[in-house]
Amino acid sequence: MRLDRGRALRRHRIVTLKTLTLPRGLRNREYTIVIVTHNMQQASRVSDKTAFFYVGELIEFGETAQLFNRPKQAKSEGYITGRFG
Amino acid sequence: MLYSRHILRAFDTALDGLRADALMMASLTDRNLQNAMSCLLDRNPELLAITVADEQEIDTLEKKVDRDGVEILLRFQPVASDLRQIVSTMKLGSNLERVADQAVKIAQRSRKLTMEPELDEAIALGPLFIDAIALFRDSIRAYADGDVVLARSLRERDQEIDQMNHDIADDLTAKMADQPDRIPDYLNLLFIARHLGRVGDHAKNIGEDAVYKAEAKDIRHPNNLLEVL
Repeated sequence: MRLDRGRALRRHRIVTLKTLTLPRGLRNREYTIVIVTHNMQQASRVSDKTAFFYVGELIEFGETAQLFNRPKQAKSEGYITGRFG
Repeated sequence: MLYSRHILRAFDTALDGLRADALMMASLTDRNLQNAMSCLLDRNPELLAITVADEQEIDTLEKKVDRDGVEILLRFQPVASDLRQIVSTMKLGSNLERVADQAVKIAQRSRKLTMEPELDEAIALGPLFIDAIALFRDSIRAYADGDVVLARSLRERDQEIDQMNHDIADDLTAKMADQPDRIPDYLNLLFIARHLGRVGDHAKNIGEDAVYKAEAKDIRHPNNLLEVL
């Protein structure tokens, strides 16, 4: 199906909104959801806990607020602050 | 450090600029305190004008630091140490502006004192001045170098300044009873001592922000009963 620009934008907004609101709704129903993303803002907005993987290796796992404010590993800090990656 | 620079060079440039502005503010504030001290101890009333002019420059820099800080937050969405650096630098700017305000108030009261015969008690404020300025300088050093050991030591030194302030207040109050005709002058000295006490408080605050920036630990209000669980 081909979408014009206006409809495509609306659809994009709906998908974005669902991506943000669906996990919160499901969490309230005691589901656990794993989202794999490169989007740091999305990860910090929607998650309670965050794991940072780099080249197939788990570098760090913890509370989202902790990982994005005070990461324990230098590699996590370097990646989320945009120093490499 | 393993990852010292950002991939986005513009981010580094913006952070470096913010830091440079804050340190320039600190340097001007230091000079302001020195001038306020000379205004009182050397009885040089002309330093008031310089203190006021420097304070206006500090006010302008405070607004620039806030404006640039918000712009960096908007443009780069920093996290972790970068976010803490920006937040703490903006708070540093606020504290520096208040220290500069205290310097102006000290210079204003000192100028009034230069128009009256000299009081011995004015010289007695010298050690308090020296300790307050030393505390302020160490707070800036702790902030700039990320020296958390130095930063954590500032609280105790601020308490010593508060104690000196109390002792001076007691002494001046006794002198007021002896020489009621000099009460306005003694009151000016009393307020100068109080302003120096506030300088110590701001230096302690800067030290707390230095710890937050370096370690993401909030060491403010350690004796708050609501937080002791």
